[in-house]
This record gives sequence, C-alpha cells and structure tokens, in this order.
Amino acid sequence: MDPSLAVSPRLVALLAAWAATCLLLEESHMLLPEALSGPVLAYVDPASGSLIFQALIGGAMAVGLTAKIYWRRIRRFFTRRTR
Amino acid sequence: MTERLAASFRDPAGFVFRRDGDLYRQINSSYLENYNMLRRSGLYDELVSQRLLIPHVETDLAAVEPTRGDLVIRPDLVRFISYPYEWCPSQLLAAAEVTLRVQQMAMRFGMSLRDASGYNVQFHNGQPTLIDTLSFERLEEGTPWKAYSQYCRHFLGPLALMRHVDVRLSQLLRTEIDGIPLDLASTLLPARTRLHAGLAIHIHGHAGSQRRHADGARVPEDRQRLSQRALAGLIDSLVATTLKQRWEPRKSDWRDYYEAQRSYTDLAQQHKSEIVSRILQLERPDSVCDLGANTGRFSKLAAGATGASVLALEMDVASVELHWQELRKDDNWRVLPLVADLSNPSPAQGWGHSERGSLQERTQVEVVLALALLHHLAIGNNVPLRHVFEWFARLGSTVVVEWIPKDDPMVQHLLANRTDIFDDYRADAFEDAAREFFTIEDKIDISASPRSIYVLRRR
Repeated sequence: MDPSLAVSPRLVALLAAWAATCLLLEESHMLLPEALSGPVLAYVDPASGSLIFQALIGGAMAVGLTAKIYWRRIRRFFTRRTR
Repeated sequence: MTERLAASFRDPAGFVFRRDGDLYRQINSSYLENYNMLRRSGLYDELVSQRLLIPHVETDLAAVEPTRGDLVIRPDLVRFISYPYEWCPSQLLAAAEVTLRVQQMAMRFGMSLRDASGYNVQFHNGQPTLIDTLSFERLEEGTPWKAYSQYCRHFLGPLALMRHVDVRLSQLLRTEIDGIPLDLASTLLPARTRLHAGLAIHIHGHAGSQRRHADGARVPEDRQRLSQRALAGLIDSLVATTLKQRWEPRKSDWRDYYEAQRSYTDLAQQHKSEIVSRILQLERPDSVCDLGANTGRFSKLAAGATGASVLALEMDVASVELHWQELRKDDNWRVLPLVADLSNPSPAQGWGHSERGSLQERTQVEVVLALALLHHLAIGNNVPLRHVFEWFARLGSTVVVEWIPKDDPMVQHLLANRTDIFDDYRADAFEDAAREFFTIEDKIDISASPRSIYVLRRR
C-alpha cells in the first residue's frame, strides 16, 4: 500500500474516543459552533459551569490517565525485552 | 512607613505590604491552618528546592492588622515585576508549566492551588516562580479544581490564540485583566481547533458549559464530584494540551532579525560594544534597562560586564522570543526580556488604577541604555527630543544614549516615504534637549560610523 494513504491507528483511536466523548456528554457544540446568546453580562457566573464541566469530563480524564499509564508500562515492557 | 500593596486586596488569606523598602506578607488567622500544612507537610521545602515557589522567612514583625492575624513573613524580593501581556509566547508557556507542576506536586502532598493566575507567577532569577505563598489549600477528596477556569483563561486560551490565530492576541490579556473569557477564546479560535482533543475539551466544551450554566444557580454537591484519579487526569491533560501550544515563528522571521542587525560595519559594531562595555564597567550599576533591546546583544553585554540585573524591553514579539530562548540556552538569569511598545507602555490598571503597576513604575534602574533607539522615537513616532529625555529621566539617573544623525541609512530608511518635518533632529538640538534634564558627562564617536555615544547624568 502507498504509505501516504496509511492512517495512523493512534489518530483513528483518538478521533473515535473524542467523538464518543462528545456524544456521551451531549456536548455537540464541541463539534459545531454554538450560537452566541446568554444571560445579562453583569450576572453571568462562569464558575458553576466550570465545576459541572469537570464532573462531566472527569470519567474521560480518569480513563485517559489510566490508559496513558498502562500504555507506558506496556511500552517499557517491550523495550526492555528487545534490549 | 507601611504601605499596603493593591495587588493582594481581594485575598482574605492575607495581604502584601512594604516597609522600609522590604516586602512582607501578613497571614490572616483564617488561612493559618493551610499555611501550617504547606510548611509541615514538606510541600514548601520541595517546591522551594525545585525553584517553583518563592522562598520566605517568618519574621517577628508586628502584624499590620492584628485583629486578622499575627504572622508576618518576608518573601525574597523579585527584581522586576512583569505581567503576562509583556511576556513572549515561551515565557507564558513556561509560567503555565510551572503552575501545573506546582499543582501536581501540591496534590501529592494533599493540597491544591486555589488560584491559577498568570500574575501569581514572576520571573525570579530567570526562573518562572509562583510568588503567592497563600495559594495553597487542603485538597478535599472528590472536589473539582477551583482554579480550572482561571488556568484556561490566563494560560491555555491565550497560548492557543497565539499559536492558532496570531501572536499579537496576547495583548487581549491587557484588557481582560482576569484572563481571556473562554467564550471569547472559543469564538476567536479557528474551527479546526475543535478537532484538537485538548482544545475541544478545555476551551470549546468548557466555554459551552459555562454558557449553559451561567445563571449562577447553586451547583449541587453530587454534580461537582471528581475522583482523585479524574483530577490527576485533568491536570495531566492540561499539561499535554498546554505543551502543544508552542508558538512556531516562520523560519524566515528569524533570518530577518539576523540580517536586520547588519546596519553597522563589523568595525563600528565592535567599537560600539567596546564603548558601551567600558562605560558600564565604570558605572558598575546594579540594574540596567535596555530600551529597544532587539535580541539582546547589549543586554548580555551589560549583564556580563557588571553582573547587573537587566530588563530588556523590545516591541517585537519574535525578537523577544529569540532573546528568551537564547538566555535559556546560556542559563543566563540576569536578563529579563519583555515585550513592550515604548510609544504605548503598559499602563497602571485594574481597580483604582493600582492593581497592576505601569511599566514605568516597575522600571526604576540605575542605568538606562538607549542604543539605536532615538530615531525610532523621534522620527518613527514623532516624539520631540525634549520629551524623550524627560521620559529617560523618569527611568534612571544615568543614560547611555546613541545619537544617530539624519544622514544615517537607518534614519533615511524611516524617512523614505515621509515628508521630512524633523528640522530639530540635529546634534546641537539633541544636546540642548538633553541638557534640560541631564548633564553631558561624555561623548564618544563610534569609529567608521557617523554615530556617537553620550553618557548623561540626571540633574
């Protein structure tokens, strides 16, 4: 196969995971821009949105970190064996 | 004389004050428990040994407000205070990295940062260092990171805007004093950044969530729970996303800078360096400000010749970036390069015009270097010579200034497409204007060049 056509499996996995996260969180605006509208500026409170958002993405963040740690371990295991 | 500094007036944990030239911080009783935890857990020692937190000593000084607390600490003094809108992209990135490293280390000791403001990081001996000792609090298991939004507004948003839109957008930080609002960052970033997992989450998704919950309704506890692993994952993801925002100037930009420095013959350049070096060795200043520092040739010379702390101000972001990168490579921590447009320097701003100091009040030095600068101010910016000297006199007591006559090719370059309305741009008028504020101590002609160097002493 022409090497330029080959898509990195890491990229595919990343894109799929990201799209799944968006759907899971019903955060479709991460895929598409959202119309600009909102409450009166003087009473806008960005803090609550930030706290709720962290709880929303928390699962994905934990999974991401765990995957990263295991991926490192697997890589270390193999690099040690080939040496 | 005790003077409370305006920058810390919002913090209930304590405040900063100045007494007899030294800087102190009162720690209020309400914060004492967290402060003790910072010291006793070993976190303080670990952070200070890695130069991530400003060191301090506990004093027996009487509290300024004894009803609120009785502990006063004296932190090390930062020589030049600078602000995020004066940093080049790599400086902001370095400050962001330090903030996240501090948070990661704090978590290992059961603590967390309650702020992630860019103003809490200062360049201390060349190293970005957290200066707010009162930023730490006990980490309560299961709670989210309070400073997440502030981190994104102060660091990630501006870095992403510089990287993906235009490096000049860092200047938004000058008007948005608590960081660039995430909805604004999200609107300005190109659509393709929604395909970057990190930016899609921490900027676009985050902004959307803020917009949807902007009514300020109380968030129930169970809707803001975050496991320890999730919190660690969040910070890890912020580290990875932040490191991807490194600004890459085009290769041709760099070449332009090296080329632009060739307005001198090698002989003249060398003679100019010798003159400046000799003057500085005689003056032996503790502090120098290099105005229009470019990529720092003379800042380095000043730091090397005298061991002085040097503030290197330059308008061009790419030059400051290159300068900063070279300083890091050489491990030179005496020079602090900053982005500053001398025709419109950072103002005093924030609450009561005193939360953030003007560049001028932060630039009090012994020697001012103004080399290859005068024509930019007097001709490029139409500033009368008298006003230039009046301003120099406000910055320092000794000025080393280069006179560049009108027939110099660089001056002619500035005049190429303009009417020459600068009849007063002559050596005799220059000297007269200088004498209004200074005495002329010395004048040395640069060989193989029509330019000369003057040493001026404030009256």
